[in-house]
Amino acid sequence: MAHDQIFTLRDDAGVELKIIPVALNLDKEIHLLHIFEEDHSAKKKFIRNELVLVGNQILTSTFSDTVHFMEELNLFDIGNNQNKYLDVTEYKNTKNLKLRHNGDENIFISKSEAKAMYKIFNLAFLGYSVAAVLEKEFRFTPQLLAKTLHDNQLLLR
Amino acid sequence: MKFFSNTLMIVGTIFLFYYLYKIYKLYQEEVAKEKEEAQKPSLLQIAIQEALEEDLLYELNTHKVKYSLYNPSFEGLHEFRAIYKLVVQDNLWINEPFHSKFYEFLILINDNQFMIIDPYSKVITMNVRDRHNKVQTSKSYQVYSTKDIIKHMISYCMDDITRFNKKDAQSLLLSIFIVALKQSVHYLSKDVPQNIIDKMLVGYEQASVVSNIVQMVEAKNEKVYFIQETFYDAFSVVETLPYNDSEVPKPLEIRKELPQKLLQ
Repeated sequence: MAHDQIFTLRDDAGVELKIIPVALNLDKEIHLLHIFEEDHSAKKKFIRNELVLVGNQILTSTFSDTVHFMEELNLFDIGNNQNKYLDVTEYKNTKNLKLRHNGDENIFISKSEAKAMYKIFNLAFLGYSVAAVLEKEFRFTPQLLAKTLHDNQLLLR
Repeated sequence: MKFFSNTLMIVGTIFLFYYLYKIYKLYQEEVAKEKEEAQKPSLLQIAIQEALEEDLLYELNTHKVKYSLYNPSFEGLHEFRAIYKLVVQDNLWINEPFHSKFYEFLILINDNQFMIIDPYSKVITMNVRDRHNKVQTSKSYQVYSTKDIIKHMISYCMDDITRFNKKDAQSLLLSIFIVALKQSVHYLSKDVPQNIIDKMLVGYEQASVVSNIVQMVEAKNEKVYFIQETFYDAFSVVETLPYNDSEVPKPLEIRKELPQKLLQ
């Protein structure tokens, strides 16, 4: 996957949006897809959406879902069976998080990994204005998302 | 006496001059006659002349020969105009039933969005909230348009194909459609392409030859390997397209009747 590329697309108002994949965990292939808009005259960058990509799966498509996912990571073993994305499991007296997804393989997240991912998620907002994502979040349709991934060669093995 | 001899000499001189003049005249006439004869055409030349004159009586056959052809531009097959010209017009393959069968395949490929899944594509599962906030799970991958693949294959195979005799060449050409269709899936429809292929070949007299060629291509027979080769080659040339399987299924479109051929 091309982590080092910055990709472009436009929203309904014709504003150019950029996509950057931010690696949260390389071993488990967990990425944050950062969608933002840049205002060169005001020298400001506005977050427009955040998606979670795990392996070959887009897990969340809205900002609220992404934050929800991150908070489940943050809670770690305090989380319970009401968790939506992560199950709390135990192996040899060590607590783990198991990803709930449609994929075949099981993905387990250790405590340190969860802490690290949560840290990177918070760091990802540095230098960006977050208000825009709350007011005018950019919602993808499956077609648009597929086209964006294709344009950026993210559909290629 | 002297007077007499003088007169005789004068008269003799006059006669001599007259005689010389006569000889000169005769010689001139002879020369003129010879010249005239040389200018007169020989018998052979006369015969040629006559033959030429007879030919000139006929008008030269200069009007354009017209053929009964389909018109891809009228029937919405703009993209296949060049292919139709390359196959039918350039080789004059207007013999039936090949001509109509070939056109039928062109229409099938043109009207339906068949696609071939890129072997190097990732399949990305997407959980995306729709307008009603319900999470829809769909799959995205990249595909090739079968139309583009076939266009590439025919234009690159034509030189190899025309090396075979006409009947085999035409069967080879139809087998290209089948090789590509066998790898294809129909855009958002559950129809299996194998059914479509069977339906297309029903009633075609060379059907068994065509299916034999397809088997040969699949078995990587050397003689027809160029078809397989251009098929792989097309993958590196033709551009890929994104595909998401969340749309409403579309039925397969098959025209009931072939359009009319026009003299052109």
